[in-house]
Amino acid sequence: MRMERILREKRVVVCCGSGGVGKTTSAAALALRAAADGRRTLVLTIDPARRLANALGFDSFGHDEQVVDPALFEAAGLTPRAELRAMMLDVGGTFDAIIERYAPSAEVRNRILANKLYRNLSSTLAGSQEYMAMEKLYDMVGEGEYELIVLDTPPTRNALDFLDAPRRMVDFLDESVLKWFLIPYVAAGKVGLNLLRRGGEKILRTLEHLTGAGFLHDLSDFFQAFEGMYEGFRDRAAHVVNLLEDPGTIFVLVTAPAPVSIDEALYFYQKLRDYNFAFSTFIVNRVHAPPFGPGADLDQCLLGLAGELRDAPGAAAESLARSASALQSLGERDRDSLLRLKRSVIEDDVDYRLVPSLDEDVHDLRGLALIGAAIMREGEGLPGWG
Amino acid sequence: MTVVSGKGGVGKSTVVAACATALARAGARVLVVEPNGPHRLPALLGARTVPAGGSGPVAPGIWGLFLDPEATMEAYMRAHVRVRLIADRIVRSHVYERFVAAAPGLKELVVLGKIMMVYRGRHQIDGIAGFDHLLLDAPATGHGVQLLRVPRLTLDTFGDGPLTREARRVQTMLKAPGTFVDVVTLPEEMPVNEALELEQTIGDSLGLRVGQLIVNALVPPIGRPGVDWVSDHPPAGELAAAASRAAHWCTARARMQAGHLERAREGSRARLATLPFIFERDERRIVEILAEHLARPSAPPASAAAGARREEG
Repeated sequence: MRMERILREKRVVVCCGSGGVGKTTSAAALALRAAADGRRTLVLTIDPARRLANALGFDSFGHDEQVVDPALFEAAGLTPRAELRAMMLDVGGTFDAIIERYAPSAEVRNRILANKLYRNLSSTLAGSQEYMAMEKLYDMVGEGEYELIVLDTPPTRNALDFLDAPRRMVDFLDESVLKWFLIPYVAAGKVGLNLLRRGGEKILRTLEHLTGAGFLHDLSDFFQAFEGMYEGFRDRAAHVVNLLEDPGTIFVLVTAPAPVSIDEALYFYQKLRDYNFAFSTFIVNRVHAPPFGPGADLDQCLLGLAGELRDAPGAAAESLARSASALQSLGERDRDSLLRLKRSVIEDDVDYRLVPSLDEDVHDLRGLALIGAAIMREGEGLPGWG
Repeated sequence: MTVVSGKGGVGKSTVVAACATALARAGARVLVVEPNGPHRLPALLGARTVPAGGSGPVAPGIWGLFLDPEATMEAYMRAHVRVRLIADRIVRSHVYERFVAAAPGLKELVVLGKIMMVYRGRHQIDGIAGFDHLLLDAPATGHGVQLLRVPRLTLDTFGDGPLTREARRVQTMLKAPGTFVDVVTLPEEMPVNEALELEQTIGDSLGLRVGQLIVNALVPPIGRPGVDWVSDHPPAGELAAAASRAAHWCTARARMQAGHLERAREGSRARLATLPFIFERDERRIVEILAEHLARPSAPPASAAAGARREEG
């Protein structure tokens, strides 16, 4: 599906990819484009890049929705046909909000929030940050305020952390396992004896020997407090999964042309397919165009260049030749990577958009609009690309 | 021991590989450690695969320890329980699985424990008990400096027992006078911000020693003379026009990077080291060139290499 149609028709665009490939900037550029084209749009980011916040006209990102000033659109040569808002996810805060929502009483809520294990857990449990990003997305979709939401996901080394997050959270808090951890309460006479299983107790004793006594008590306390909340939590996680599988949701992968980034993008792409999530586009950022054109014979070109520069002083000719060789090799490397990417997914219906490496950081709406335009451009968006 | 840390995509593994190569060429016996997969160092060092059993020689003078947290955790559990049947039951149980997921930093602690055994020479690799340098390629993605935070997290979370004793020993290794944490970053906005934050976390909240802030992939200012000349002599030919655009790109990129490098210099309390951008297509070739660069006395290398030169000189 073409990018134009996606921004016109979809309700959720999820931007995935590893860190440091310009994912947040791409997400913001897509959101800006959609708003300029008339859809009420929210970009949900996790990245507190000050420059990006400044580019959108804010001092910094807040954990509440902030409206991008329509005057900035006009200054960037865009017409603000609909409102664009941005918001940064607060990971720790979101987890607390879920506890707040599902705790049956203030007492249970306080008990969980004060639990030593919970405080460490919300930051260390694999996938919890990723899960929180999706929770918030679900919230914002549920509020129904926006025609399009662009989600910038946390950078993840392991794609599974992100895609598996809802299932993992549900599994982790599964009742059938929770009860094993309640065994210390059995001993203390706090829950019924029918929960007692000899095998489980033995395993726990072994684990307790490793961890010392206090930990299992904290764990038990946490799970016991969580018991009444499980159902609400599970339902919610199921809704999050449904949202990701909804026909109104589409995934795009943001990557850079360095070989290692392409490897990661392909790995992530395979995972998206395994999960049957709808995928449309690879956005390849910071692509370098070879100055002499792709596949050019560098030695021949340098000879020709020396001829054209025969009047130039040695230092200038040397500088021009070195610059051209350097960028040529970088451009060829990028081209190799892109060809590899294409070959790997040749049988699939996917789209590529190349964003050229820019001379400067994006620091205003115009810069974002340029990136947006490159993403939207037909013919892969890179001039001089064979 | 040098822990090389930094966000994903900044070239951390390349720096580790280049540093190990430079040290090995200077005659040292170097051990590189990748605490979790996918393991990239064997390929960067020119080995075809991860050595059988996860450890062994990977290049002349370089040995590797490549760990998988799940497997390391299981091995630890088995060693602790000793009776195989019971160990089997435990590692296969749902309780174990959930327990490992719930216990903050447990797997990472066990991984660090394994590294510590090698560090102290209790566990030999390829028959070697004492390496001159240990380079740990420490992931710092997503969960920040999770690996380095683990000993303290363990001490906070668990009661007295084998795990807290392990955590104290690991902490001793990380705080030893010869242990440094080097932070690798790129001369770009977010990477510099994150590296400065990381440096502060490592130094102030974790109380570890930051060796250097390594700013990687600086484009050398090769375009300047060319740009100056073409500003007065517009290129007539097609090739000169292309070369002129390339020189402009190099200059603009170098200028942009210089600003971020300056921010890194101002914001960092550690020694600042830089590595050049290598215009090559092949990763192995990049490692080779960087290793040669690190071997030059004028180039500020990673902490371990600096240490090696101090010993020589």
